[in-house]
Amino acid sequence: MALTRNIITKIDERTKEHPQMRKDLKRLLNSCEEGRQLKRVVEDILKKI
Amino acid sequence: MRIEKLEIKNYRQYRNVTFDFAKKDGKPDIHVVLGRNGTGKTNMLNAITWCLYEEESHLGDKNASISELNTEAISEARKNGQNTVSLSVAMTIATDDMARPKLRIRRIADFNVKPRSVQPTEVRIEVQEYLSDGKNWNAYTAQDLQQSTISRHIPHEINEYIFFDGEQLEKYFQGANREKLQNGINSLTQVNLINRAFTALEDYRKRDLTPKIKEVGDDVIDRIQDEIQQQEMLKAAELADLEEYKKQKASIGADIIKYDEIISTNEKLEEQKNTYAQLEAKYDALDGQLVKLNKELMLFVREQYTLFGMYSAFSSYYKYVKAEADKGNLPPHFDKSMLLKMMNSSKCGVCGQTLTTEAYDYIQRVIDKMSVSSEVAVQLQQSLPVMRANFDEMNKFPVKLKSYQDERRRLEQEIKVCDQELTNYQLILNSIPGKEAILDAIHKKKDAAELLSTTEQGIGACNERIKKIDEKLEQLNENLKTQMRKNEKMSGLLAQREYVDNCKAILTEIKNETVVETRNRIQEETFKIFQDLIWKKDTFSRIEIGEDYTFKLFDKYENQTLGSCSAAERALLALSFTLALQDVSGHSSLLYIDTPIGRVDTENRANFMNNLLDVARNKQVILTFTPTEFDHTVSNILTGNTSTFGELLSEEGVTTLKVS
Repeated sequence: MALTRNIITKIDERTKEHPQMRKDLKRLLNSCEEGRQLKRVVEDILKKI
Repeated sequence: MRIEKLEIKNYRQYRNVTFDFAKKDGKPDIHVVLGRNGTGKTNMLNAITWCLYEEESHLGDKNASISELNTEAISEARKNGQNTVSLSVAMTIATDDMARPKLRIRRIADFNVKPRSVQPTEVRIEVQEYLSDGKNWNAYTAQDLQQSTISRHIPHEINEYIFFDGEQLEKYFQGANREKLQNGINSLTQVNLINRAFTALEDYRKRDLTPKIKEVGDDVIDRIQDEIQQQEMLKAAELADLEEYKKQKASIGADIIKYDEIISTNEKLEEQKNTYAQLEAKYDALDGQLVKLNKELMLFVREQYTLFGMYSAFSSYYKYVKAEADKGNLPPHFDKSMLLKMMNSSKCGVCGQTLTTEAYDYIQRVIDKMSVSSEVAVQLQQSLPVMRANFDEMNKFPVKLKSYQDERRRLEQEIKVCDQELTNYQLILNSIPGKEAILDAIHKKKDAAELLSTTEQGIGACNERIKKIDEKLEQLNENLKTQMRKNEKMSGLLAQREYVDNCKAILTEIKNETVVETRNRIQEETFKIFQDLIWKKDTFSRIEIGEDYTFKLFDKYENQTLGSCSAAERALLALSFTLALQDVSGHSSLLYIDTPIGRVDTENRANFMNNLLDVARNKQVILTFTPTEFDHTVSNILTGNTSTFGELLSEEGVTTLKVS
């Protein structure tokens, strides 16, 4: 199931100043849901930092 | 979401049965399937969960003993020399997704049938979604897509809150189910996703970032990092302890509910037991008083017996002395020697004058007349009051004896009444079923309450220590950051680490907020639905759902009543909770309940069935019953109110469906 509206709203609220972090958190959570290799996802996210 | 059609082929009792759950206009979306034990009601439920998740969630020993592949199909295959036979379960589901309004799932299991054995060979699944824009059926062949398509409509995690067996409803709030419940809720609210994301970040920080930082770090950084690691280990140990404490608390809470359930079968047992003990003490006291009284009476009678034995002698003596005294035969006290001395000296002993002849003669006559001595006479007269006192005492005997006897009768009567009461209580106590278990539960509940208090203190202490460690960690991390900034090589890693920490902090906040919000919403919603459905409107005041999903139901006097609720009330609370859970999670599913009223007592069946009828006005409800459960009360409520009604019939172990 996709991320619930509740979770999305909460992420948006907390990342108003950090659009990149918002994108990354949603990507990470979606990857969890899809059962992807999370280490690779985190690595990929942190490459841009 | 609702099930439109269920087709079962060659699965356990089922040879080839199709259930059509179409909703009839103007009727509640309620569907009844009636069937005797062994006709396959629960296996219908198993067929559904097998089709969706390849799991037979309600397979007890009884159902497991029935061959997975239908025995008639096996015999027929052997007869026809056929080697491969398949069983299949297919479902057509109407979804809430406008873009994909229908879903077809068909799971097939192939078996290799040999003369003496049957071997499963392969299980496969066909999943098709109806796409409204293209107006066609789209088939998914990739395994992960197939399962994720099913999960999108009927998430595996919540299947237990859609497909129930009746017993599960009643046991909903027991310890073993609570963990499942919590997991289910965490899945529904996606707290599990947050946990997984958090762990991924945490693992990366620990296993990848920290060693890299160490590699390029200096001594000061190493020292701080070692210290951080140490504090983190301490924290992990404290968190593990805290988790243990929480589990213990939950388990004690569950035990207390269990004890309450046992105690509630006779709440007054302890009181009765105390009354019985008090009566026993009263009986012993009265018995003691009676023994003492009997002793006193014996002593009294013995004393009186002596007096009575001498009565005739006393009486004659008294009469004689009294008669002599009355006649004046008992002279006053004279000194005879003085009189003789006066006669010898012929002089008065008082005035010394010479005695006249008349006086001399008079003294002589007095001396002659004294037949007893005056001293004896005085003593005889003095004995009279003593004798009279004895007679008085003897006269009082009947009165005193009567008072003793009255007292004894009173005590005997009281003992008799007490004995009767004891017998009655004994009968009551003996007639209480499971008396020992109830008393045991009362004692164990007291112990559990003490243990709970100790555990809560432990949790408090743990939290306090964790808070201190967190403060220390915050300080250390601050120091580390300061040191790292000094090291240019570190800047990239520092930024990454900070980014990971910020992400973790946000996820923790979201998780905590979601957990609390969800619990509060479910709590409110459950009570609202429960109040709407329950027939005793003024009995209950609120529901409290604990952090560990322990349930407390309070009455208007603020007493916890979950343990003493009837099976029907508990099942209704479970149902309310399920509906609340579906509402809060946004997954409006059907309800499938296998034997919903199996545990509900006759008097509450009508209420409970009316509730299900109410629920069925807004969602599909599929119910299965045995003919015994589908009694007059249930039949009266459901007849004319169902969309479909079918009966499972079994002939030579094969189930067929008769639709009416």
